[in-house]
Amino acid sequence: MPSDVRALIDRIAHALGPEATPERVERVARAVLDARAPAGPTRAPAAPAGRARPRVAGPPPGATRVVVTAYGEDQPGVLAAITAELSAADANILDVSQKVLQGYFTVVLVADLAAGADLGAVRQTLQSRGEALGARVLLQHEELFQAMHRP
Amino acid sequence: MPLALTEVLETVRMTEADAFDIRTVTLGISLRGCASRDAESTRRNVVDRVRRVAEHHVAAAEEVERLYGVRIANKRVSITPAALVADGFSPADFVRLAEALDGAAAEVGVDYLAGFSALVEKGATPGDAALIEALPEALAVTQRVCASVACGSTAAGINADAVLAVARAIKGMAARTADRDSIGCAKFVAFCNAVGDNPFVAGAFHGPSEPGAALNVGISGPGVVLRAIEALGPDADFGAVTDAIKTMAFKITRAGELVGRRVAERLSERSGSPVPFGVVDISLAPTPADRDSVGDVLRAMGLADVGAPGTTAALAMLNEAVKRGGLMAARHVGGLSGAFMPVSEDQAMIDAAASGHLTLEKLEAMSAICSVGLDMVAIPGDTSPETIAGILFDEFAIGMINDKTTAVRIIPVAGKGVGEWADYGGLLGRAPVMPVSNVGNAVFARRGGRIPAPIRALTN
Repeated sequence: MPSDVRALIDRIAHALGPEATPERVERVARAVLDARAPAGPTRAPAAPAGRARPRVAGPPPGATRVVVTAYGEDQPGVLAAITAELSAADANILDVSQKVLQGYFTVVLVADLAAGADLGAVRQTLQSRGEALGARVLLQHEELFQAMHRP
Repeated sequence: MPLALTEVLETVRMTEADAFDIRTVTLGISLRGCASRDAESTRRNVVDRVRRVAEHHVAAAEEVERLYGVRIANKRVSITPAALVADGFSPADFVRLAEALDGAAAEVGVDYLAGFSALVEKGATPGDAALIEALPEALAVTQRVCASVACGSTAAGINADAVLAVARAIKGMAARTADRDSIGCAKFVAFCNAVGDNPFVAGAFHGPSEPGAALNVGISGPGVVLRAIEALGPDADFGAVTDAIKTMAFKITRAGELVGRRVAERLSERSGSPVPFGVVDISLAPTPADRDSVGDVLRAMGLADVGAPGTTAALAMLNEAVKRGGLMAARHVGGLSGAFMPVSEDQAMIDAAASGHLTLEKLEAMSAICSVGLDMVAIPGDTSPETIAGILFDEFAIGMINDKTTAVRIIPVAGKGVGEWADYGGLLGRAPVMPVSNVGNAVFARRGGRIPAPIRALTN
């Protein structure tokens, strides 16, 4: 097992705390790893070598595509906590980016919230989990970013 | 194409650090058909219409705010100029109408209701005159009602009788709200070339050529532009500065258009009758908050302070660059769409006026090239109505000749003189009382009649 995957599993287990069962940790870890995979959308087949990264298709009918951003002083467990909560909310994580610079981290995830998901409740949960770890977490509809950057 | 990390972070930084928000979503409501046989039933019809159309406005806007994580600072309503639907009213009837509108605005939860207005560019009906007479009392006994009077236009010239009547009304508003730093005047705008789709108060009204209802949006975002200019450093030339402003204006206008459209959709769903999206007003509205100042943008361009030689050119460039970006970003741009320079609502402007770097005359020059006018300017309480009329005439002449909107929101702060302050709090901010030339103009101001329309009005 590569060391970064092992570290990821440790961080997820740490973030989940007493709620960490082997199945749950694996589910979250797979979601993160799938999202990080170069093929783009979760569970999509790998793109043939040399081809540009495929366009991320629109969300499934009824789903809401959101961008989750977290930032703050670098603390282990923030990404794991966010992915765990998104996973618990049945969200499908499509993309994850993380950067740590001079002790500050930024995490950006793109995810589809299932039809009927309570966006306000998910945001509230993410914000409280983030706050406990010293991070500010935002959840915004992806359409805003598309409007501003993909006219 | 998936979003890049830098793009996401840019948007997040705008809302988190640069005070970017949507300044207002303003629901325009036509009052046509509300006029009835007497003042009482007309008033009832007007209030019922406002309640019915605006009932879900705030809830729809809040839903969109939550969805996109972008703050909408104000939710407002504008109405058909009240004098058009209440022409038989006496001044007392108009005051009662203002109170009823204030109640309806509070009930539907909007921050302001604007359109207690008269359009008298060419002449006033008895109803228009009654509304103007009612202004001091109407604005004193209400909280949310905003009023305006259109005194001239490029097509009609300037109604000099109306200008003097409005100047006297401004003095009346100041006196009637003397205990609150003459706040009545902060809720009133006098116009030349007024527009019917302006979402910004105090001058908003739902023009006679507008549909039954329309949702217009006003953007903010001086902080976003400020960061873009700061990032360039002092060696970038004007072309580069223009490009940086244009790019940011494009992005914030796109956000404004998205938010406006979604609010209109949700409002239509909730109310069961279609409310079309109208326009994006691409004025960069400042607030007294940190990093939300148009004055700071001018300083970032290289001026030591607002009012320095070069200020007018800097403002012209800012305005032009915002338009270039904004026009490309929105399907329909409208409203005022010019730089706002409200002295009390912009910290850098407040500082410049307090230090004497920014004078009334410099503000007038700035309004000639792009800014919408003299906005939230506090002047000594003992300024005569004729002097105020002269200031209005000068601004309106600029608007009439240049075929642009000019507006005056001026506050002769009762009991206060130069060096003292008027303090309103909130978005209205605070303003130092600025000196005014007291060279006599009484004969000119009282001549009356109408300044003829300029030759450029004859375009056919």
